Amino acid sequence: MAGVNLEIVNLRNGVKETYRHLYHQYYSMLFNLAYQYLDDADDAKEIVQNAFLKLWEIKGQLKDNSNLKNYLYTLVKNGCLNQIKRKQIVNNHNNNIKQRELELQYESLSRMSFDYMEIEELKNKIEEAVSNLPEHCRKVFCMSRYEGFKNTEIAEKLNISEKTVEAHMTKALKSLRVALKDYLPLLISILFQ
Amino acid sequence: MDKDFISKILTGRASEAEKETYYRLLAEDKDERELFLKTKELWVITAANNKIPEQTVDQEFAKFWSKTNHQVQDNKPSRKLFSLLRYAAIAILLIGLGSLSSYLLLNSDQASNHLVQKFSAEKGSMAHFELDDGTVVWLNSETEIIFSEDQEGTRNIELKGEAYFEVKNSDKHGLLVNVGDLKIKDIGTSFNVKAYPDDDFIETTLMEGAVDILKSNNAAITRLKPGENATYLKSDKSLNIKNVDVELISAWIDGKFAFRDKRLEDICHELENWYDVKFRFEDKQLKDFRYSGAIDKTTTVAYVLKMLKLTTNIQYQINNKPYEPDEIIIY
Repeated sequence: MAGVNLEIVNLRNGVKETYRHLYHQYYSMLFNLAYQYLDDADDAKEIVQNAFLKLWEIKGQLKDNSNLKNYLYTLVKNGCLNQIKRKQIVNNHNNNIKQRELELQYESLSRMSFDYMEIEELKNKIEEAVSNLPEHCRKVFCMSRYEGFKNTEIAEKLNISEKTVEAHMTKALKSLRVALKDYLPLLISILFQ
Repeated sequence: MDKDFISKILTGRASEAEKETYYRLLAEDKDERELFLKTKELWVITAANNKIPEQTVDQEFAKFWSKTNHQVQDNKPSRKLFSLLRYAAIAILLIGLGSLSSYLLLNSDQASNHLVQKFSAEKGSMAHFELDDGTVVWLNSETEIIFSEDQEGTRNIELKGEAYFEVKNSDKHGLLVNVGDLKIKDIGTSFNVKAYPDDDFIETTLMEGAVDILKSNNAAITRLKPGENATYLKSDKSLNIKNVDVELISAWIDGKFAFRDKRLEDICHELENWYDVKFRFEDKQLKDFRYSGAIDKTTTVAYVLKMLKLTTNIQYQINNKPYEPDEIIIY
């Protein structure tokens, strides 16, 4: 049931507002993905920008039913995979631990699917699952994940040991995996233990 | 093995020695590796929505945009069309005078600026966009609209399915929504129209402003006030007006099903429209059970059923069918 898609028409014609809107719609998710796998904000910014530039390059070929979300996601994912591969070559087995880390990053990112882009819509479910965590687990998880505190800082603020912080974090992750199992059908196969 | 390793690794708090031990473990133990990878994915996903400040995104966009202007633009398409028309004109002139008149007709059509656009949303999804005049439209699952503007500037919309309109600038030019048996004329408003071809009813709900309900021959039937819902039954051509909770009607825009005191059979009908399923009631009495609630459309149908089951003792069975909608039996 394909029809005329106003957004695609505007993208084909290089309308600035439409591109700006696209940026605001997807930038956070794409940047966060890249940053999680590259650990470098500048690298991540560049990969995301390149994805949009590639979109600009092929804009004349966009079809009414083109899936922009998936297209941008794939570009960012592949850009990151390539970057990790490059780092592996540069590292050249000099640092064994680094090599293992890059391997794991590569493997983890390879397994990531388009479902990642649907996370925006499942945000409520995640927020709900987080709010249902036991009090201390939730505090620790939120302070680490959303407020960016380091474990030492959390330990200080909550007046507990760092070991306890780590234990809470482990428990939080385990609880979330179980809780989100039913709410995220797309990720059932990933999260089901 | 210290089970807190995963969280240490993910938060970057593990020492080099700990990393070495843990990575060796992951290389040897498939299950541990799998556990790590699954947790890592969860970790990444929970970070997906960390909002980057709008200012930063604007800056990044500005950088992107400045780079696009240095790229060679390939704006040939419009030029191609022009040359095509020229050659077509010449070819027609060569054929003869008879053909010339048809060319002129063609030409005037191009000049009349008669805009016709078609928008649609597939089953299980929504569309949200803005028309040229600033009207914002949401389309629900399996919905199609054809938008056209005539010479006087009246905007016509032909609708099959469910749509929510936020109309702009309607003081001069009207907006007419045609759903077959009825027409809905906007007078500066926000309103919801539900008119699926397979349903017996056409529902119009007014949120703000005013709309007129007309017969297909443009004869006026009634004018709605905010909060009013007009339900027209195609089978007996009756129109019933009642006050409703507009939040329930427009919940689908936010990606939710919302129902208050609704019969299970009707709820299942909505679910059939959204998910790829077909319901069958083995216990007919269950059709009349009433439920109230709001469910995110992103949940699985299995979860929705679970929720319904929590409040009453209905049983259900899901039969997966490879090339058809899944069948759900309620008993």
